[in-house]
Amino acid sequence: MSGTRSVVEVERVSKEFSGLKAVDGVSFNVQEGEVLGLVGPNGAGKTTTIRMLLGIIRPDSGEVRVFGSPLTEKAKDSIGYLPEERGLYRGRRVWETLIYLASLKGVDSQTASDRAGRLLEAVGLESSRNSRVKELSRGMGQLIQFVATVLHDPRLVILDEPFAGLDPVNVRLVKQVISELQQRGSAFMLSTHQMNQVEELCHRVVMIDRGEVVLDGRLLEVKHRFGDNAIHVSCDRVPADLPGVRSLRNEGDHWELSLAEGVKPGEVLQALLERGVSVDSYEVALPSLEEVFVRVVEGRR
Amino acid sequence: MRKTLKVAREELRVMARQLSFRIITVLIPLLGLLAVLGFIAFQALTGGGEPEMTEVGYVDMAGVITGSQQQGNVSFLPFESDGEARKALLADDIERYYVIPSDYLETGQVDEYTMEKGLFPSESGRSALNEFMLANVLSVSALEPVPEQVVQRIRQPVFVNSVRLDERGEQRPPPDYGGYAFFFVLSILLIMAIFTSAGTLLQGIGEEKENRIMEVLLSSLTPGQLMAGKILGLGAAGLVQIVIWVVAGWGILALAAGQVPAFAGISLPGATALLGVLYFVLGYALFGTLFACVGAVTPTAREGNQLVPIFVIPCIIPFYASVAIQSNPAGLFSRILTFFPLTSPVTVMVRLAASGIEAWEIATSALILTVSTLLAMWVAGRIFGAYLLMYGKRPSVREIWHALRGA
Repeated sequence: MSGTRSVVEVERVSKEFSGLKAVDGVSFNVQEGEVLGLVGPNGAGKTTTIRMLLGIIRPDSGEVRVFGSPLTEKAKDSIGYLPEERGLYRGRRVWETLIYLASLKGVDSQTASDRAGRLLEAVGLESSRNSRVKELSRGMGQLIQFVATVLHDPRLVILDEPFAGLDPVNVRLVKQVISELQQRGSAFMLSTHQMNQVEELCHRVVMIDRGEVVLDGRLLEVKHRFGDNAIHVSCDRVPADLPGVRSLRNEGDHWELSLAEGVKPGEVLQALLERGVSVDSYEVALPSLEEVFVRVVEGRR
Repeated sequence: MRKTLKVAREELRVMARQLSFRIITVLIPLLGLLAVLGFIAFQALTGGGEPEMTEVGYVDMAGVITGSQQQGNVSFLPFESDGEARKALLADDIERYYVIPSDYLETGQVDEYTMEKGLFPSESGRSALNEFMLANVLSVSALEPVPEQVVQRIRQPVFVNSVRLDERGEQRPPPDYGGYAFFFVLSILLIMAIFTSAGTLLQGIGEEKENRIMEVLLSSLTPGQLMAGKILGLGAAGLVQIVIWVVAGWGILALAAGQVPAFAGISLPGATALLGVLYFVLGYALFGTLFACVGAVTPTAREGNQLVPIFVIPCIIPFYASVAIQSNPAGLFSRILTFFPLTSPVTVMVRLAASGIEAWEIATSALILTVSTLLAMWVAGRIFGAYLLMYGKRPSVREIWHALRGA
């Protein structure tokens, strides 16, 4: 991951719908090769933000730059978008639909055919290429749409709830394709309510609530910010008078040690080892992204 | 432009692959061909020999039958009495017989005896009887002999030879009834082609909204490109259809003209055919654009279809008013229909049929149609983008007005 060039720059973008501020001064950016998680409660303004980014709706104020300049037609050809509300032409065949959608991104039919063949194979649907869309199951239809989203080898991929309705095997297939593309330098924006997927895939997370960005940072850094300065230790015993430890709680297979202000986790580990405690495992206790999410949103209500 | 053409090509491809489109495109010329072939075959079967003679009887108790015993292909045979005539009828020697009572001259009453089972009496027999009675009554010399010429004029008072003059007093060619029929058919086909294409457009937009592929499309294209591509592609499909029909019509006419004298006079001048194509293009562009607007603001294809009659009715008014238009092509009513954009495509066809349209009228109506189409496209461009992603909810008139003002 190079992480040097901005693929998306959103600056103080606002949008109002009949007097209601859907998006209010939102700013964030996405770097090349990065996977950004866009999270937030329902109705927070994520989809509106994405639509403005794609030029589907125009912001009332603020600026969006994609690949370093305001959105151009050519730039659109390098974006793949899987909307949350999605569908395909029900009466048409899978293959025709894929080639058509790729052609709208400026991909010639030969290249599109090559890539469509490979991608269908990657998601295990090569046998459905001549099926009509209405003959497919919902999950299969969703995989086809994912294939259509990345068929033109986009430099920026925006996925809105890409895993909803997919079984675990298909989730894994989609993740594999995402990771391949990401390694080749494509940037991803992933909007989802499945926090475990964000934790697994995303480098950075932006949280939007009521049209405003309320959290923006690298995943680990955000967790640290919301962490309680505690550590989890699996060991045979914990001396009661360990310096810098405020409180101590046994949580079954491990202990949670709450640290006093200013105490670094490493100092406690060193103290434990110096006292001859045998330590099996040791980790800085961090809240899950879901906990962070709930805490932020509830804190604002 | 590149993307617009891609959308156009896809729409054309999908439309051309539709079975209903193919069937209609081929079926209409086929029906025309079958009609002409059927007509030729019918003529060959019936027109070969002399028309068959039928014999009917009469019993004249008024003493008015003195002369002619034959009318067309019906022979009138005298019988002495009702009994004899009935015997002949039962023996199938005659088809029917009439009894002319003694007070015939006062009452005009004649009794018909027939073995026909049909609900209504034979029409040709009735007219033959009329002629037969007329010829004989006029020559009843009891009153005063009427000269043969006067008899002829009473039977057929006038043969009108209509001479049409233009503004300079020069003689114009006689009206072309075959041509009239041809344009009549052409205007039906024009309406069909316009509404097949525009209806497919409406259906397509509704489908794209309903199945939610719209948002994917809009991440690749602007609403304007999408709309233009659809209008172009489906218009091309409609144009292919109408060109096939016109060319096939030409061929069928040529075939018919060689075989059936009634068709020999019909011709389709190239300039007129081009006008037909031009008015298809203009009319379709206007209706297509309007339908695109309807498709954009209505949440589903079904709701959009419910609004279609609003556009269909003005389009077919000139068709139903064609008699009024033809009888006074240059009247106010005809002119209004000629210039009003929603009625002009079919009106111009109807007036071409009546050979009663001036070049300046065509030019003006084409200009008005073009300008209204451009205006409709501008409106559509504003509405289209604003409402394409509005699922399940129809915008209010005020919201549409808002979008139009670009707010």
